[in-house]
Amino acid sequence: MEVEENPQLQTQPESSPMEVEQIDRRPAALGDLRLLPDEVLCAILTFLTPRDVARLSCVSSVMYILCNEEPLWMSICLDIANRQLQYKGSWKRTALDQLNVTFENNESCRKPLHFDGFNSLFLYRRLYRCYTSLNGFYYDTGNVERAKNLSIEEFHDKYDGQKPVLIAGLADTWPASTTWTTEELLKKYEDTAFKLSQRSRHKIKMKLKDYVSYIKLQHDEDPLYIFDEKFGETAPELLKDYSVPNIFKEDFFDVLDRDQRPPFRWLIMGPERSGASWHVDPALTSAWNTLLCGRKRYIIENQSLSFPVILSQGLAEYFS
Amino acid sequence: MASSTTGEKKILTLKGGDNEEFILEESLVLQSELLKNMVKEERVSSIPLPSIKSKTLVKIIEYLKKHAELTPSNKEEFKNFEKEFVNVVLEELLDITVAVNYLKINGLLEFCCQAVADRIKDKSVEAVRKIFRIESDFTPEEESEFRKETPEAFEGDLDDTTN
Repeated sequence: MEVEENPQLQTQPESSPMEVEQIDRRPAALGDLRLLPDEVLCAILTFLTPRDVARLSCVSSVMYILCNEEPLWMSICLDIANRQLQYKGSWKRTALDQLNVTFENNESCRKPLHFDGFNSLFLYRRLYRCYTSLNGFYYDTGNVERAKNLSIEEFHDKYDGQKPVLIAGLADTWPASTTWTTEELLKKYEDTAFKLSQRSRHKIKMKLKDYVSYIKLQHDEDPLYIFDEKFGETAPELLKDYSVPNIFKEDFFDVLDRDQRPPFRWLIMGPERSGASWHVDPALTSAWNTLLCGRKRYIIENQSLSFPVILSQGLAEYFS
Repeated sequence: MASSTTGEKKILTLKGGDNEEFILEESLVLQSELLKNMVKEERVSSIPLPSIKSKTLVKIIEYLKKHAELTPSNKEEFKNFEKEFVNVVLEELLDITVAVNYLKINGLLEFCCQAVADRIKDKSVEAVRKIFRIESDFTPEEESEFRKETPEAFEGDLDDTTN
């Protein structure tokens, strides 16, 4: 909503005693760099080393603000991480931990300074996205067919490679339908390290208990999620918790020798806001996907319809 | 024989801030997401870019041409060209970066960001202030506090020069 005021009708005195003249720190504190939009400035900082960023934060107030942004430290941290990650409540702390900077005699993580006279729509929007809860976004328009007790023939005739379908009930008998919750998995696998979604040069792993602690503490726009194709090797017990449904038994990878088989099963776990961006699965493979806990939203581009189909997935439903 | 080249290569005119016109092949500007959308959706043949100085536009067009000619065999040559491309005075580099961001030429934007970052790398606090004409708005107390907070950032060889 916008309000427009006619200046001639203004009855307020020119300068009310309550008004304090706001300084704008930007021109002086950014110098020539004020020409750049904030998103470009922030992108430039991601090319610096932690040491450079620490020094740059001492250059001026606005630099201090930009150099203490959590998304910047997340990017730095994922860049330098070379061992198992343990989230320390903020990405700056986590990065310093990876660099073996101790907190006791280092005060750099104490309460940050605040400066007035600076605002940035870019930083505000980004922060807003980091704190966005997705509860209000739940909707299921029912635009995808649902099926139960589907036979292999029916599946091939009606859906396979033709249109999306949600198949209910296939996981009801799996132990995983009750044991694959955060609490239950923690009991057995708290010290097992799982692989995280690829976001850096090195594959990063996190112990499950550290990952769950990260989930609870983080406020990332695009949080890290567990995406582990080796879970069957690191935690073979997990394989007993589910079975491949009959309609998906056919497996073309069977013609390959065992050691030549490409990655074919993944354990995925993530908090709200986490997920993959728009992509085509590698080698155009088909996959089945079961949701055991929480909810997941798919956006599928339908080439023949030329607009994306959005569907939300409820508990324990299949999607093909 | 004089003949028209209709239908062979589409020609497009870009108009810089000072009304200077640049005529180039349409295929070249497709590297810019912004221009690509304008060309594909609006079918324009002349695009005014009043916020971009002609001098900056000349540089960017030069890059687009070189990039379009990039093949595996002249990779080295292109790398040298890129190095020279950003070897300009700061004001010019920032003008190019702003324009490239506006035009959405993604690969080049990343390269420009790296180039600006390179001018900060390993520099002392004072040098960064001089290079970018930044005034410190910290109190002397705040400033000495900072140095105590991250002493390791001030150790070792730091570059005090402004070039």
